Amino acid sequence: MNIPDNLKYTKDHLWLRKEGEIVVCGITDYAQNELGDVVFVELPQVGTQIRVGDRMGDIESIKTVSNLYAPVSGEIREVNQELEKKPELINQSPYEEGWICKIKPANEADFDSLWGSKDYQEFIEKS
Amino acid sequence: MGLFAGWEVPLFYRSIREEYFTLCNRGGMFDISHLGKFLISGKDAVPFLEFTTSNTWGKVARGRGKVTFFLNPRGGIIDMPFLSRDGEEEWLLTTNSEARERVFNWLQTQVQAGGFSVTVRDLTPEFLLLSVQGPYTQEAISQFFNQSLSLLSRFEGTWVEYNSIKVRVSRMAFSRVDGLELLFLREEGEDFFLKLSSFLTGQGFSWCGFGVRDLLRFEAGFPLYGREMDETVTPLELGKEKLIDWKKENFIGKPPLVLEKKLGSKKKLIGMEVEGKGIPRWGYPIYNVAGLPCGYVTSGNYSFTLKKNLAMGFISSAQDKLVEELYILASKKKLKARMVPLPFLS
Repeated sequence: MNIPDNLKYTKDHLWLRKEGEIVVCGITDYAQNELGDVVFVELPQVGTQIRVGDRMGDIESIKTVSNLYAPVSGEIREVNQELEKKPELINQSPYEEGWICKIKPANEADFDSLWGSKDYQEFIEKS
Repeated sequence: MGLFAGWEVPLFYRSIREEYFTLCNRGGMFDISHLGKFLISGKDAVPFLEFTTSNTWGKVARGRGKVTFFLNPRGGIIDMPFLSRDGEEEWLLTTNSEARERVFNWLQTQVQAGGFSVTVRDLTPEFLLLSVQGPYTQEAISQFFNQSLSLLSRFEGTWVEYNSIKVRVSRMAFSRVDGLELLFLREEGEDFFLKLSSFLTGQGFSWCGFGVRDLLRFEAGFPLYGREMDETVTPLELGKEKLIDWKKENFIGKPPLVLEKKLGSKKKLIGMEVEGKGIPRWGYPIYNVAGLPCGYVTSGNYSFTLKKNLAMGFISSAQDKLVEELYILASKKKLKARMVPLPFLS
């Protein structure tokens, strides 16, 4: 199970990475493995204001449908259009090419308070 | 891994997509040892099968077989097994894994009630069953046994030997992809299993999980027990009239089917194609264009070949003129769909 040290995590199995004032987010390697073959992603609209816990999209695999919940509050700045054509990127490269969206956080502290890799590792070992 | 009728079965080894394309372009293997495997034998075997199944067996030659129905007295489906003649009085039966115990008990009851001179033996724990599918299957398996198996016709089986191990090879293709099934004794089969696996892997074949098996049967419009079939569904509702021999004087479940054929079925199985995103899942309700409920989804999947979201489901026969435009209610959205013929792929 790949859980990179340099990322932040949520209990909904999202990872986040800071790039300047923007955070990039996607689903973890553990999550993509649990979902199996992803066949589509319902991406959020660019410009949407989101609050932590809002449903911002869906990921559908052959096995199941899973909701995407906003990991931080803020504004959706960009979405990964490649996923429209190649949803399998989420399985093949969850932390790089399979990123889902970029968010401009409303509050920097939201990001800092998210789990580190050790917390996430402990969480999935228990679940 | 998934749990199925008490057996732990893999949904996929690497990914459904990868295994699907390897199988369709080259070949793939499934361990289907969890299916129910029975030997039905005795001097009354043929009359017994005539009475308990929906089609006829007297003229079936050794090695030949077909798909059939076991029905309850209401015409509902107990199972849709495969039955093959292995000797003058010996028949091999393969059932759904979930139906194994139910079918075994039901057959025992019928033997006793009818006073047939027949023995039913459950071979499931003793035998392993592998399914090999894909365009290069015949070629690869013939090479492995050093014996041409390309002359086997559909649903025909024959015993071959490999290092003195007896293996029954049958040509079984339930999907558009050709395939062979291999049946052999578990006890002496370990070495054979490993040699075959390593040979086929070397030929570019891949082990496949049940995600692929389900997708292939789904694309081929093949009903699955527990989804399209249960004891409340009849063969006519499934569109499987060709598996019924009406000329047979009697078999369990015949009278209600005769009536159903005369009066028409209450529901029928259809194929549906979704416009846009979303896979319809088991149990989702179907509405017609007027917003009235008219049926339910039994299976849904995404076809990597057609690149479409597809579903099978039952709709009420009274409404089957209004199926141009359908709506499937998914957990949080409405999926627009239209009726398409089955199979989705042939």
